[in-house]
Amino acid sequence: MLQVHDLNFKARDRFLLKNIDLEIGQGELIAIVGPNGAGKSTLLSCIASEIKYNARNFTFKNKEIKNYTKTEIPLHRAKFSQHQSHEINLKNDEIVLMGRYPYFHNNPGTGDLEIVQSWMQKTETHHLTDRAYEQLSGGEKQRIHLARVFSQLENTIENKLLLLDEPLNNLDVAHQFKTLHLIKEFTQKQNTALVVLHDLNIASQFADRLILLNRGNIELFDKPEIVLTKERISRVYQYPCSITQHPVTQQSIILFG
Amino acid sequence: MKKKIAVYKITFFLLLIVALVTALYLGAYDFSQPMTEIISTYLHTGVHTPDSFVLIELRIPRILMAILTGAALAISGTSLQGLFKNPLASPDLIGITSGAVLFAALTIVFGSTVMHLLSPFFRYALLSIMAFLGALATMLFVYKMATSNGKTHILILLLSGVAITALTGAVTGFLTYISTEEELRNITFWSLGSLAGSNWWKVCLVFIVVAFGSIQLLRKGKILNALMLGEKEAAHLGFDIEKTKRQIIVISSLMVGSVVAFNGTIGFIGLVIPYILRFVFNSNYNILLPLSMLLGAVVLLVADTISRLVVIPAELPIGILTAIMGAPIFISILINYKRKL
Amino acid sequence: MKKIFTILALAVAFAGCNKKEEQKTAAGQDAPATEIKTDRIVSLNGAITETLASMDASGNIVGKDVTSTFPADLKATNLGHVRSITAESILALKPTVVFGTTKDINPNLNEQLKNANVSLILIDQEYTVDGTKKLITDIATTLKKDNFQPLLDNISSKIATVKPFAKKPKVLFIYARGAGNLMVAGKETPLHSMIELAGAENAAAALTDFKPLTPEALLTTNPDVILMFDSGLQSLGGVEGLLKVEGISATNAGKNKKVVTMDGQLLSGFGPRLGEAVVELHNKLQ
Repeated sequence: MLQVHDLNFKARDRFLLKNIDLEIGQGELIAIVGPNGAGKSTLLSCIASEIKYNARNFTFKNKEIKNYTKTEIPLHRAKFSQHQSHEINLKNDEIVLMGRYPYFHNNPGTGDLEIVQSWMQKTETHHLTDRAYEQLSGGEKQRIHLARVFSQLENTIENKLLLLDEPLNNLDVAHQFKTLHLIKEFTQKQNTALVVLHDLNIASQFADRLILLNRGNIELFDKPEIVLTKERISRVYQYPCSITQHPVTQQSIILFG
Repeated sequence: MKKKIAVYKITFFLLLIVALVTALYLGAYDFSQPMTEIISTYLHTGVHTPDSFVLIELRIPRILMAILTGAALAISGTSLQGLFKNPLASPDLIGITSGAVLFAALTIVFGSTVMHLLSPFFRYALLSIMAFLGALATMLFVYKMATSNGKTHILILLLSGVAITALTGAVTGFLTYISTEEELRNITFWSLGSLAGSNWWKVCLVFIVVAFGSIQLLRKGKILNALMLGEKEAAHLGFDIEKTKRQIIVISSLMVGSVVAFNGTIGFIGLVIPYILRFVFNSNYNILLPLSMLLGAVVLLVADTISRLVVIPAELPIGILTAIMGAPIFISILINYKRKL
Repeated sequence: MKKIFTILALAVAFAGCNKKEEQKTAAGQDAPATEIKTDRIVSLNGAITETLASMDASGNIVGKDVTSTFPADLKATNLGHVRSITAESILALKPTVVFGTTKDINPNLNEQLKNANVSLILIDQEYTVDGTKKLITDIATTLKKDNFQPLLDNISSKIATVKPFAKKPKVLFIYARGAGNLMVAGKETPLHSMIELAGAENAAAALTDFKPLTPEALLTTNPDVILMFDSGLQSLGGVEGLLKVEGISATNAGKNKKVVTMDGQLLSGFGPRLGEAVVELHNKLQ
């Protein structure tokens, strides 16, 4: 459903991304991992059409991504960004409602309002409806924006694409896992999610495949157990690590140091 | 929330009606007949009596002009503040009004030989057109300065506006120095404003500009809200950011330029009206945009009525009144803000 | 709701644009007034007011401007400064004719009064003896008064009595509206003409029109006499206040405390009292 061939991104004579080839199917949860400066956010920005890249082709659901109109694409693709505004002079439910802007002209329908309520429940921000955004903690703000982004993709279109850039920052453990479960539910409905994550263990636990980026190149794009080898990880992250097994789930766990 | 908005809309509208009727009945001229009679007689005969002339050719156009000007300045100010995400952004800050005044001053001082050759109608039409061109030219210049590769750098835009305002202030000051006394007094009109010269032609023209402009701007509520998330985020919701920026800038300068062209500089409205509304409604532009038009119209109409009455039979320039009204409001806003902290 | 608003708005616009056309035809159909009724006069210039009064028309003057200070007992509504008068305040007095000068009436007001079908007589005021005589003559013709010649003769004869000075004093006129706002009168001002008519020399003749007062200018021109309006000197706090202005005390005028004041309208009005004004100024300058 997503095909990228030979994508390059250059900024000031330096390649931040080189020779990126991706083929991603529907229903996949793909995690993008790698050390700092590897180009994870840049890759996500390219896929989100935020920055100008060069690529041989880039098709989304068998259509060149450039051929989607500005008003059409928000129904198919949404992005959660790493850095959000600190100050938005609106009530929190009004902010989540913005996710539904592509769906109504002047006034939201009851359907839109219900979707907003439902996602605020799911992200456990419903009790913050009437509070001012500026008074929220970093984690609470994050969950408001998650609710907004999920609300944006709540529709009957099939095979949607959700892009998330480090959605777990500032969240406490319980909320981190709840969010990951929400993303997993999303992908189980034949939608696709690309998530930039820092934590390799969380990535391997939830992702179907991993994109390991290293200095602008794809080191490997495959299932977690294949990508995460002690040799590869220590080389890419330039730090020794060891792999052990989770006492309960038997999954591979990476420990640095 | 919907109820609250409706209540405010109705209240402001009623206030506007009250202000309108009050303004209609107050003034230097005493009518010998009831207004309805005056109007119906005129509509029947098509010929003016002194009463009907004052009512229909002087007072009513002036009231309509005050309403249109107040609405135009308020919605332009609101839109610009949304665009720049800065509550201090106003038409004055970007340099539109300064550019308009500068071109008017240049026309008065250097065009006097040409102007004396023209009949009075064309003389003031020329002046008005030059002020309008000044607003637009300044706007385009500032926009070009602050835009590269199709992206607008908002900080540079605001700073360019500040620079233009300083420059035009200096040039206007210099012109004031070299001009003869009578021309000087005309320049004073431009910097303090007056609605006394309103007539149906002007009202007609301003109405067309304001109607067209406000219909466009009233549609920008969602995108201005979305801009608070950041330009990239707003783009993800399907909005064409660069086109919207251009539209808001051009339409605001059109509206403000034409209003300054006919009435001189009337300050504070574009700054204070959105500020006041934000205290009740936060920065929800779907609500701010329409309400700002109503509140702006009410405030300017009241200010103009006071300006006509306070030193009868002379008039106080309306710019003085808007400054008197605007400054204390600003101070009380600051006091309230400090209390909340 | 929006539809109703748009329709109403369009109706207003349409009506507005239509009115302009109607108005033009209505005004065109009226025969141009050859008879100027003078029972209710509004005068927007001091010299014109004085002229009207000297032709026994003061009883008909219902409105005057702020410069119309003579005669002092004139019973007419003071409409204020001619530049901030509105058509409405003038029309509130229900005038039959409005007198003004071409330079002072702003085009908007001009237009509005014309459209109101009020006879508007604009006089191009020249600040010279001949100009004043023409002003008097024009007004007399409008009022259909024939006995205006004595007024003209009075001016000529009074000015003829002015004998030239043994030594022409250098006079500097200072216009003051409070100590912060001081201007001097160069050439092409009424004050310049008055100073010359009185037989003196304008110390600021190198400048044109009113220009801000600077200490350097005071020293280079070094006037023998400083001339001011009564009200101007008052606003500075009398002669003591004037001497405190930087540069004044260094001039001849300052050292000798030679300060002459006259009533503003008398001095610069260029009305029927022009003759008296010249004589008074000449005498005060000695």
